[in-house]
Amino acid sequence: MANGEPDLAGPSGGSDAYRYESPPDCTRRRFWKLAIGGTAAVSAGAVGYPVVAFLRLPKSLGPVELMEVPLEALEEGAGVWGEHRGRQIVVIKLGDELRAFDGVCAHLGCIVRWDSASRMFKCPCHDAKYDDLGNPVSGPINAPLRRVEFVVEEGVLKIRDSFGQR
Amino acid sequence: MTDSESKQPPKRPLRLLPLVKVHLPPLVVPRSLGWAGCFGGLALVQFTIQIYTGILLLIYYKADPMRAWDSVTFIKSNVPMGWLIQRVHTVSAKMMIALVLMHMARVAYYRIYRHPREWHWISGVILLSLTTFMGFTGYLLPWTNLSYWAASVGTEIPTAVPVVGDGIATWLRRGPNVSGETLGFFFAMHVAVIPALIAGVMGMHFIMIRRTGISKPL
Ligand code: HEM
Ligand code: FES
Repeated sequence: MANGEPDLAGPSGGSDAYRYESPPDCTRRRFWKLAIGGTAAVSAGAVGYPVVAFLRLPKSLGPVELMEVPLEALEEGAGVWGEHRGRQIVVIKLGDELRAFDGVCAHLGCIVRWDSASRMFKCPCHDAKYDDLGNPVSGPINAPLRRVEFVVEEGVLKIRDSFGQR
Repeated sequence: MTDSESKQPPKRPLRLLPLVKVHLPPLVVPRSLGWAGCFGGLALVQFTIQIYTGILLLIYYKADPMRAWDSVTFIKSNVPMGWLIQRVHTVSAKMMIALVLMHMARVAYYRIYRHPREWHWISGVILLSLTTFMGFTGYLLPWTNLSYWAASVGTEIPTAVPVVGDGIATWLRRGPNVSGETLGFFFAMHVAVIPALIAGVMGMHFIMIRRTGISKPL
């Protein structure tokens, strides 16, 4: 810069007072290394995590949690919920009869609720309604709730359904 | 080369790194290669995604009409991250077909299919067919209502061919109608036969491109 103008960025010339020097640990190269490396690491994690997670043992194949309900816990008209092989199961008592259902709505798989007042299963998601046999009454469904097998032994109701696994 | 060299080739250890290195930068591509030039490569990325998600799905998938649907539901709702892997496989299938078509549209628009690249185009058309066959055979696997009818309609198409058409349809369906036998057949095609063919044709496709180089505008 012959006419004495300060050269702010140039590597040569200009007065030392104006010259910008990157600190040694903050260079353009280092920035790109971190940015590209970081993006690569995040991408690798986003691809790798689901793959590793997929290979884990699904809960329902692990040590089986079988649902058991003592008969005295069942009240007339009320529903008792529990987990069996990773599924949400509801047991209802109507008079002398006991019925167990898989709580998964036949529409898009939300968990229904048992409404003891109206004696209906109601789905909070899209308002499907099922009667106390699990048959569809109204809403976006044309299939029943899945009945679940159980046995009663020594005053305890034991869910026995394997859902087709093992 | 001197005489002694040609008689006694120097013993060198097999070095794999140079084989990889020739495919890494600085690999010269024409400056004119715009963003549309990435579709073929992206289709390859989709294919690798299909392979690893497909292998993961195979862990739980059961090619049996009584259990196929349950096994896919099991993947989606019980296997950790299964909902994601299953959906990625389904969505990537569509994306792969779209990307192959976009790749072909670029090649057609710039008329890259002309000599000396006619075999690039021919192998590309084969790859497109194989990819749609992957989509078609895969679609039956979850054994839903839609899958069943899609396979029924799809296997109906060859009946338009005179004389042999009905025979081809029956052969594809493994019987007069789509059944559990069809499922087994499509499954074998989907996970073994067609992927192997795609990998082979893709390899040839890439070798051809290496031979001619990437095309430059005239
Ligand atoms: C070009 C590559 C591929 C395409 C276009 C493709 C396409 C598809 C499609 C459309 C489905 C049905 C998914 C659904 O509708 O829910 C499917 C399912 C499946 N594919 Fe592939 N696929 C490819 C590669 C592979 C490979 C390489 C394997 C295994 C080695 C594989 C294994 C499976 C399995 C086990 C299923 C059944 C599970 C399910 O339906 O989600 N796929 N595939
Ligand atoms: S999921 Fe139950 S009504 Fe839609």
